[in-house]
Amino acid sequence: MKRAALPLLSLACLALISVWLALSFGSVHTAWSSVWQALIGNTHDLSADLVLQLRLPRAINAFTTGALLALAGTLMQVLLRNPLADPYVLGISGGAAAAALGALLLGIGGLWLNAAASVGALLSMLIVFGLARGAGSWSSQRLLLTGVIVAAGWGALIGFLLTVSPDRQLRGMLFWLMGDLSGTETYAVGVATLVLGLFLILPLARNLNVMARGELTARSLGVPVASLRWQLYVLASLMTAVAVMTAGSIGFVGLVAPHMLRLMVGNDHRILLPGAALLGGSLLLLADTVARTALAPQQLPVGVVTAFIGVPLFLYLLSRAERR
Amino acid sequence: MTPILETCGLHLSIGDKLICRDLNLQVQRGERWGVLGVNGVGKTTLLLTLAGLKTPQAGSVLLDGTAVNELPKRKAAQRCGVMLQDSDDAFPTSVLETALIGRHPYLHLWEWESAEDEAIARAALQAVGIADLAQRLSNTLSGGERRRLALATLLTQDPDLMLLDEPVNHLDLHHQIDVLTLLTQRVTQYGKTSVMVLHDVNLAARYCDALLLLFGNGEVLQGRVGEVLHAENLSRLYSHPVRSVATPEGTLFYPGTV
Repeated sequence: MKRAALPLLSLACLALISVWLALSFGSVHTAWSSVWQALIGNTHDLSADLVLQLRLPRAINAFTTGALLALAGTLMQVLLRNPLADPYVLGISGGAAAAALGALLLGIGGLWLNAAASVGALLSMLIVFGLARGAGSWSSQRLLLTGVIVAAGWGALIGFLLTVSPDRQLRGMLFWLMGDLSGTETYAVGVATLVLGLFLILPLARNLNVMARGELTARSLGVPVASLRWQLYVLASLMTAVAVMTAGSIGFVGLVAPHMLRLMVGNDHRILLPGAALLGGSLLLLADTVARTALAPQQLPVGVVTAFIGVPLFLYLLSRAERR
Repeated sequence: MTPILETCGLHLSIGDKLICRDLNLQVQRGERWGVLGVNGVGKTTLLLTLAGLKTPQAGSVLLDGTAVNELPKRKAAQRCGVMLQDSDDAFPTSVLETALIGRHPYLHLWEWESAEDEAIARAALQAVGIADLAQRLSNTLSGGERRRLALATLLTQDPDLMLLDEPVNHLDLHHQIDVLTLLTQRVTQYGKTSVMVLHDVNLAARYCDALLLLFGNGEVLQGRVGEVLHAENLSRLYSHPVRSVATPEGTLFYPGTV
């Protein structure tokens, strides 16, 4: 219990700092004092509107999306007992995006669009997990190969859908592909999924520790592996689907956030799960702040920034861990 | 007295290969059983079935008189533990944390390992002689150290019935004797029971009370070590002539030249 306090407190501080940065920086710099006044409702001027109605919803969206992706990545890694599992790498995000684009093309909007994205994510996971499992257990090569091929398949389908779509729909469609946090006003679904997900998965954290050591070991220690597996499967798909719905397909958060934590605090999921949510959320929020401000007034797709930040950082941590 | 482990009409096969048919085994408390047989004859499958981790084609496995698959999983894990043949290191943790996994069946949903749990794990690491490696990552251990860590995890779990799949695999001679002596101590001093798969006939002769020989094709032989362990049975078991020689420390078996 004590071990968890320091890493989680540090991560909570990081989260607060990233929220502060996101609320302060943009086309207009807002001083911390005015951000605070706006948050507690003391001022109602233009800068307060800017903070409360533009930056805050976007910050919440970015944070929940990042947290959901990092959690989904962590769960998939345990489920597949493979540290390389990630919703983006395994083509789950691609499936959600392809299904959403198909729905858009058919003129479906609103909630049904979200439903389509969820079905796409679940279907994609079913394909990857089903095929990669085959007769035996999930071997690394089979799993990653299946994921990469499925992702390529969704990529081709997305290319096809973009080609046959009328021009006026293209902009909306690109949103799903590059990862973009500017488009959504509603963050209730994301926040609700994150809270529900954490509520369901945190009590199971020690079970995940045992399951990470292999199915037989886990069963011999009394973990109900079959039902736990289904819970992880459904939760990871749902979290990915909601993240894709909110922000399109954003890569690397689900891989990089859990990995950085595994290297820094070890593989205890009682620390990893809340930690991944905090770190993933902070990471995506920082990335989005950079995406908004780096080349202002031009906005970069946030997926580009997560890759720019995530890839070198990940490589550095990996090389450091190997030397130790 | 109810045997701690009992099989009734156990019928086991992998694919079309029969491991045992209508096996009735009774393991009493405080006994050390050995399972012998050639590679691929189904020793591991049998052990996993005894642990309730595999469902037999027919028959049942009883733990203290109750069908093992009807026991609540956590309760079963407090009474029966397995040391598997290989461990998985996809997500390495420190040696101490790895051993502490054995406390899982005793902890509630939100509970963290207490100081007592940690003391139990440290004592187990001490018993197998890797206490000084407590902070090392599990994936940096040698093959033999890994085996001893797996045993320490089982000792931390502290079940009444210990099922061990080749516990002395990868161990040098000195540590083979240490580990088997340790297991014998747990059985005689703490009233535990062990069933282990072994390949070394002479170790089985010394550290087991009773044996189960798997010949393949569903043929098995069980009995006290003194009754079943002789050169003729062993030659048939391994399809290779086995000879014996009497020494001051008992009969030793060795493979003959063809």
